[in-house]
Amino acid sequence: MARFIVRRLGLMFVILLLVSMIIFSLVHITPGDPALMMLGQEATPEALEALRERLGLNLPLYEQYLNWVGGVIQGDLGNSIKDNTPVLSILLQKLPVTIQLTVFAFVIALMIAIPAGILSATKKGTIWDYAGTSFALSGVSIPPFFLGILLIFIFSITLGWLPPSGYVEPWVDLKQSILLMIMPAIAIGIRLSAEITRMLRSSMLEVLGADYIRTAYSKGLLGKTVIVGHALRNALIPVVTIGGLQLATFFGGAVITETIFAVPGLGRLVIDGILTRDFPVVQGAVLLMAVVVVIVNFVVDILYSILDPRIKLTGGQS
Amino acid sequence: MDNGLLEVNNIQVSFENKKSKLTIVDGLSFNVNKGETLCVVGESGCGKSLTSLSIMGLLPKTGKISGGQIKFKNNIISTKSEREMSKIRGNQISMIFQEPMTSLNPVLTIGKQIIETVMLHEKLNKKEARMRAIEMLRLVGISSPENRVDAYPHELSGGMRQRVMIAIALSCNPELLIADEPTTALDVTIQAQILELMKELQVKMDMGIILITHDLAVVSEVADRILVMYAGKMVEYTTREKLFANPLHPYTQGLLNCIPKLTDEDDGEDLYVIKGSVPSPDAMPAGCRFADRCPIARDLCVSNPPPIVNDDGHEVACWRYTDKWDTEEGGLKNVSESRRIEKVPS
Repeated sequence: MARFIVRRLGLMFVILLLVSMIIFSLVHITPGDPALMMLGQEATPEALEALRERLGLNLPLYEQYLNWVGGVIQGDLGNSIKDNTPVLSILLQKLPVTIQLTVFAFVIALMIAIPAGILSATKKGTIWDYAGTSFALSGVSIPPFFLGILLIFIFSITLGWLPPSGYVEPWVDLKQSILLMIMPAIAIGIRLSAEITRMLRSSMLEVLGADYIRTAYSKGLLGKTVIVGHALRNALIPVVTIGGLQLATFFGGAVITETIFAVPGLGRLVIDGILTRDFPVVQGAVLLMAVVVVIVNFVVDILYSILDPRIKLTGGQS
Repeated sequence: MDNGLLEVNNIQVSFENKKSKLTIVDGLSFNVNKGETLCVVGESGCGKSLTSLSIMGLLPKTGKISGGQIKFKNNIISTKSEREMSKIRGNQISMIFQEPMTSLNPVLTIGKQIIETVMLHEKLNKKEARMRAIEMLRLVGISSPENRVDAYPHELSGGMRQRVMIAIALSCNPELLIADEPTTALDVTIQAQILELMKELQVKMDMGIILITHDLAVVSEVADRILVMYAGKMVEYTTREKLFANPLHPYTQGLLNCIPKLTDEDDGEDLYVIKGSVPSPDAMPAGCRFADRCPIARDLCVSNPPPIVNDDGHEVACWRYTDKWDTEEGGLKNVSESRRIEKVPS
């Protein structure tokens, strides 16, 4: 286990290094001059040149990259071009918002998906099953941004139950904060929820036909205990994979949803950064997302070995 | 019937969907006494396993007991609700299955799987239940049970897992144990050990056993009485001594002939084979179901289901042992030509 963790941490470092190169190249390939964006069309060439010099934008690309990565390794993500605040502090300020949204969405997704998946598997061929599978199909098909607009239209404009958009920190006004989070969380979470429902249904159906389920019944256990105590844990093993991968995409999917609901999270930060050619902010935010994806994958692997004792984590060939 | 334990009366097990109904087990009766072993013998698909599942109330969703009744200690259990049955299962009637490799839950320790059963049926706390689990593992011959109790099924061999299954099944001192081909998936040496173990525990616990098998060598060693089934029906039912000394039904005779004998003088002879195959459940013959494979079948057999003849506790379902057989004109009929198939209405 320790060997596995060390190996994975080393691998994570390599992956993140590669990711940093890709992010950096992509950001710098994008047309648009940050100096021009900041000073406006009427700026004199001398002023632009001076600004580029100050920002280090006139250095060769590889030098700019090395400077940036060197800083990142020391915990310095550079300063925002726009207002010169350290990127790290901007990220640390936005990250909790996105985490809050993600956790909310994940909880909502699981709250819908686990009962729906179990119901449609155990009551296969009934109205419950059809309801579950139709939900799964439509959930996968609806794009989050469209669902977001639909939700605002129904619950805010027509019914007036929920505030349409905005963000309040939970420690300022908990109730308002939760109300504001419900719709964006649903918009992001419904897709994951649909995927998990589908996966759980099929893996549950497979597990319910297994010999050890018959054994469980033959011991005198009742349906509920058999399903929760014996079937669910086995059925969850493949579901964890999907859940983990999808959780990581929340960070990406949230970009658009956060914009629709005016949630000042990482997604919004990236969009704003791209629009103003604020390279350090975009690089920093995307790198942070990459870190999250890598960590989530790592956690999924650990979860596997907890759920399924047959999986032993080793550090490769031993 | 003071030491009677289980009484199965004329049961019928059917599978039904909107379009059709298939009766797999038809009119089966037998009983099991305390401390006695009943072997149920027959080919694959003859309804042995379904019979045992129907006793447990564990038939698949589409199947049901469509006739007859099952009595356990003079209580009818074939009509009991799921909740009532769950109090009997694992407690008074236990079952072990054919596949030890897949019959244990792979994500739970074997200890947990025994403890769960014990705590369900008996008022023991976790610690006591764990003690019982260890004791059970020792009883079924697992060495250092204190350590093995926390092992996962994949850490054990097939024979060990079947021992664990037996430990689970016996953990609440059941009065009846149903063993559905418990040794089929195991090595021959392990088979003998498991059977030996079951025998030993049977004496210790005064338990009735229904052993389902198609292995006549096993039957000849452990059975008190034997029920031979063919295509969902009983063909012969008697004690081990009577059956092996004097098998009456042509099918039973065929089965016994199928066992190769080392003492046979004419070496090099081919193995005996019962020709033909079991009729499909949706096209059961109107008469005797064995008729088209039977070496002595007559017209009578093909068109009329045979009655059950009881000769001093030796039951056999065959026309040959009735008076009608003699009035029927002799000679063998070409059965395959005159075979009539009764189609199930769809």
